[in-house]
Amino acid sequence: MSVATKTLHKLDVRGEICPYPQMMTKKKIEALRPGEQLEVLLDYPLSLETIPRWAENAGHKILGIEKTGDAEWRILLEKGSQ
Amino acid sequence: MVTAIRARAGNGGETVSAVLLGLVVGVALGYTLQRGRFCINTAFRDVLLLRDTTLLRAWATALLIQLIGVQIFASLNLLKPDVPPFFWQANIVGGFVFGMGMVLAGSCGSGTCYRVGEGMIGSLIALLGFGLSTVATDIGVLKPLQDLLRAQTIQINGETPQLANLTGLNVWILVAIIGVPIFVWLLRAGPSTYQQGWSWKRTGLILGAISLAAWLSSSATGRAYGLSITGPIRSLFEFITTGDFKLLDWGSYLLIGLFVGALVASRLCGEAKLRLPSASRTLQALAGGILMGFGAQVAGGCNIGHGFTGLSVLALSSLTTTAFIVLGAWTASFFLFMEGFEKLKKLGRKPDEQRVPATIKG
Repeated sequence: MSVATKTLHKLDVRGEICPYPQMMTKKKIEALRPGEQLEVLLDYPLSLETIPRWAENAGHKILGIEKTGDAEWRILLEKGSQ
Repeated sequence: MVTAIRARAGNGGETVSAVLLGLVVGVALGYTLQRGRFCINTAFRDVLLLRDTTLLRAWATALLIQLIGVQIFASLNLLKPDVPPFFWQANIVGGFVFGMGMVLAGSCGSGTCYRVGEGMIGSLIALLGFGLSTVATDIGVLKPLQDLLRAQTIQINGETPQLANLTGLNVWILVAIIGVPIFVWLLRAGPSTYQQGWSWKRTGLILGAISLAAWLSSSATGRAYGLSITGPIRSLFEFITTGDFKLLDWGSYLLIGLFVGALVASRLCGEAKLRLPSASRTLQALAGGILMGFGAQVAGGCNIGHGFTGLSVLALSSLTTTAFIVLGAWTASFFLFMEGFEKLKKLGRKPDEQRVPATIKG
């Protein structure tokens, strides 16, 4: 699959408070090239809402949102072309 | 516990109903805030930072329900709403300081409380700063500052200013002028695609219903006001430090219920966990909490007491405070998250560069 060839970047924002998880995600993905993927680990429920909403509006692809444990989630994003 | 409080306070029936009614509304409030991730800090801030108005719509929905409901209650003589006093300097300064504080702390007055229920230690530290600071401002070392800022209270013919007595318009005309545009804006909004907690509609509708239950149940205990957070935090902290049981009222139990409701909601949904940010971020939360406590205490309310309940009675003090909470939040966001310092430096540099060749280089 083409996924395997794409570079996967990781960002761990667990423990961070509002709005750092979304601002750090924004900054990180802006530094990537279109098509590259970013995995965000977070434990802040509000950011679980704001990150996907922002990512969609900004033209990035949301490949998955997964609950990985108690109050922990993993969001997989792919940088959009614009 | 109930009997102990009853014996001390000496007005049995009212105390018991304050305990029960406050707790019930508080649990419902805490549950709703957690499921809806309802944070006014995020609502106001993300309009600027992420151009996201989802939480703002939840707030507007709840506000609209409360605005109409309270006017109905008042016209049916079910209650006579208290209008927060208009000490304009305190409303302006307090609102602005509170707005900056909530951005630093990462959450608003109510947001801080529900996050404590979720197990966020950063929010707990912010809450401790908030509580300490409200007490210091109300009866402690910062009291002179509060007295100074509250020195001028403006009244209209002996009444506290609100939009009806200010404009002379019928209150229902005002409700229509404010309510219709908000309603149209809400109708035009599409649903969110990625939703883990409650949608903004659900959160707004339930929060609106809770706000009305708060008015009715709190009035039943002799407190003619709706939801508030700052007053209850201050009373609870003053009670803890003075041991004066008379300080506990409907609001104190609302606050205790809020923590419980948020804890229950987050536990049921697997979102409760003890979480600690880095040392510097924790310190930042403490500083934010202290600013919030001072600002909200001076202004006479936070994003709930003024920015939600006070707006529903169209109080001039609440309109002023809320406007300055937004300004304070945007100012702090500009500097913290939008490279505000760099932007200002760039603006400041241009005239300097033009001057340099003529004066220094020559």
